Amino acid sequence: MKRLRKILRRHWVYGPLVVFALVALAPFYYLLITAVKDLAEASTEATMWPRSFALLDNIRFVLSHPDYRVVRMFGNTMFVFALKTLGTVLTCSLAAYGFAMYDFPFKRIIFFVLLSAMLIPAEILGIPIYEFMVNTGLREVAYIPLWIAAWFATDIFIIFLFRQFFQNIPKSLIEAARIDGYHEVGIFFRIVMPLQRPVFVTVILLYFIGTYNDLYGPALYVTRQENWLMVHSINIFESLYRSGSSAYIVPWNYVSVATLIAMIPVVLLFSFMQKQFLQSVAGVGDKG
Amino acid sequence: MQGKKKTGSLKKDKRYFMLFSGISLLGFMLFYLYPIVRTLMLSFTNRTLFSLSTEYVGMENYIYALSKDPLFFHSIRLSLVFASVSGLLVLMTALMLAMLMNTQVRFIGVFRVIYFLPFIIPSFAVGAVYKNMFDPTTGAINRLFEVFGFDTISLWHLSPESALMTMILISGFGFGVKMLVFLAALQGIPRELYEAAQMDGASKTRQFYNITLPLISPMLFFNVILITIDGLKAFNLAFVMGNGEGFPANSTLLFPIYMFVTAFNMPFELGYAAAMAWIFFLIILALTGMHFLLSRYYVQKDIV
Repeated sequence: MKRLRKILRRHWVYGPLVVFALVALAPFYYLLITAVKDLAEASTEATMWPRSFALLDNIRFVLSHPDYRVVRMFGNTMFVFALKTLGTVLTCSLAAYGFAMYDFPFKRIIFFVLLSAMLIPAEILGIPIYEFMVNTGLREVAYIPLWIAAWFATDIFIIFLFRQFFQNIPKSLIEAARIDGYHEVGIFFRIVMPLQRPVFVTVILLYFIGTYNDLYGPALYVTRQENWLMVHSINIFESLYRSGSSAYIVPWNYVSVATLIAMIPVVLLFSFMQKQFLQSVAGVGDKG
Repeated sequence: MQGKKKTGSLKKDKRYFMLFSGISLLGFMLFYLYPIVRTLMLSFTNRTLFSLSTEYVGMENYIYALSKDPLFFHSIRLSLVFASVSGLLVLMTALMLAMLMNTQVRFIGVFRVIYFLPFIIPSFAVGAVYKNMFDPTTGAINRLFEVFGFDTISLWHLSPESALMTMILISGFGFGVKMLVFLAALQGIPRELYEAAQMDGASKTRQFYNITLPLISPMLFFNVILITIDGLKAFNLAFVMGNGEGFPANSTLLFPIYMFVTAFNMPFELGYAAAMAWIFFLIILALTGMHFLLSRYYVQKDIV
C-alpha cells in the first residue's frame, strides 16, 4: 500500500500527460480512419473503426478529380513561398543587423515605433493595398500582392527575432573581422549569416507554415482556377455534393484524403527539422 | 554590456544604419503608415471599389456603425468573447502542459512531439478535420457521448447556439507554440530555488505562486498579448468554420470576417469598412494599453 502510494506520487504526472496526448491525437486518429472508409460509411455514419476499406479507391478518386491539380497547386504555393521567404529573410535580417550593430539618432524610439506597428491589425492595412492592387491591375499578376511587402522588411516580428540573436554576437568578433579588412556588408554575409544559420532556418520554417496556412491573402487575391494554391485543395471535395443552400452530404473520406495529402509537406519538413525548430522556437522565449 | 562608442564612428554608423535598416523604414512608410492614413481618409467617404465619384461624408460611417448597424456590434461582441474565452483556454492549457513537461519524467520527448502535432495540420484543413469530428451524424464526438451514456445530441458547429463555443473548443488545440515559450521560461528557472523552498517546507502550491509565477511573468505577459491580439484578429478558423460568411446565422461572424465581407464582396464598401476597421483598431489599442498598465502589477522585468 505504501509502495503504491509512493509510485503514485512519483508518476501521477503521466495521468494528465496521457489524457492530453489522447486529446491531441484524437483528430489524427479520426482523420486517418475516415480516409479509409468508403463514401457511404464516411458520409452517413460515425464508426470508430472503419467497416469498409476503400483507402486506395479514395486516393484514386481524389487524384483523378479534374479540379484537383495538386502538382500545379503545390507549385504555385512554392512560388509564393519562395518569393516571400527570400524577401523577408534578406531584408529583415539586414534591417535587424543595422538595429543591432550601429548607432543612429533615436534608434530605440524608431525600433519601438516599428514594434508597435505589430499591433495594427492586418484588416486595417488591407483596404488601401487591395484598392491599389485592383486599380493598377496587379491583383492577380504573379501573386504580387502576396509577396511584394515581404521585400520591404515589413515583418516586424522577424526583425525583432533576428535582432535578438544578432545582439548576442560578441563585438570582438566583428572587430576582428574589421581588422582583417572585411567590409561591413561582407561581415554580414560572410560571418554573421553563417554563424546564425539556425535563426535563418527557423524563419524559413515559420514562413513555410505561414505561407502554406495563409487564407486571407488567397481569399482576396486568388480567383482564377489556374492560380489556385494548396489552400484551395480541400474545398473542392468538401463542396463536391453541395447544391444550392439545401442540406447536402459531405464526402468526408475524400476530404480526409485531400487533407492528408496537404499535410505531407509539413510532416516531411517537421520530421527533418523538428529538433532545430523546437530549439529555436523555445529560444525565442529564452531570450526575454 | 553596452560600452560607449567612440564619437568619431557615429557618422559612419549612421551611414551603415541607413544602408542596412533603411529598407525597413521605407517598408514601414509604404505598408504601415500609408495604409493607415489612407484608411482613415477613406473612412470619411462613401467610397466603394468601383464608384466613379467619391463624396466626403464626414462622420456618417462612424455614426452608422455605432448606432444603426446591429451586425457591427454583434461581430465586435463575438470577437471579444472569442478572444477572451479562447485566449484563456489556450493560455491555461499551454501553461499546464509546459509545467507537466518540465517535470523531467521519462518519455517526455514523445509527449512533446504529440502535443505539437495539432500544430502541423494546415489551418485551411483544420476546419475540415474538426467539422468531421463534430459532425452530428458522422462525427466521433457525439458517438463518444453516446458510448458514455449521454443521450444529448448537440449540433455543435451547425447550430447558431453552439457554433461559437465549438469554434472556441477547436481553437484550444492551438497551444503548441505558446507551450514551448512557457517551457523555455520554466527551464530558465534555477532548480536551486525549488530545492531551497523544499527545505524550508514550502508546499508545491506555495512554490508555484512564489517562485514559478513571478519568474515566468514576462513570458506570461508576452503570451497574453500575443493570444489576445491573435484572438481579436482570428480570421482563418472563422473563415473555414463559417464558410466565409459567419455560418450558421451569423453566429461565427467575428469582426475580421464581417469587415472582409463588407470590404471585399459586393458592393465593396471600402469607406464604411475603413471606418469599422478604425473603430476596431482603437478597441485593440485600448485593450493593449490596459494590459500594459495591468502588467505593472505582475510582471517582474521588461522583455524588450
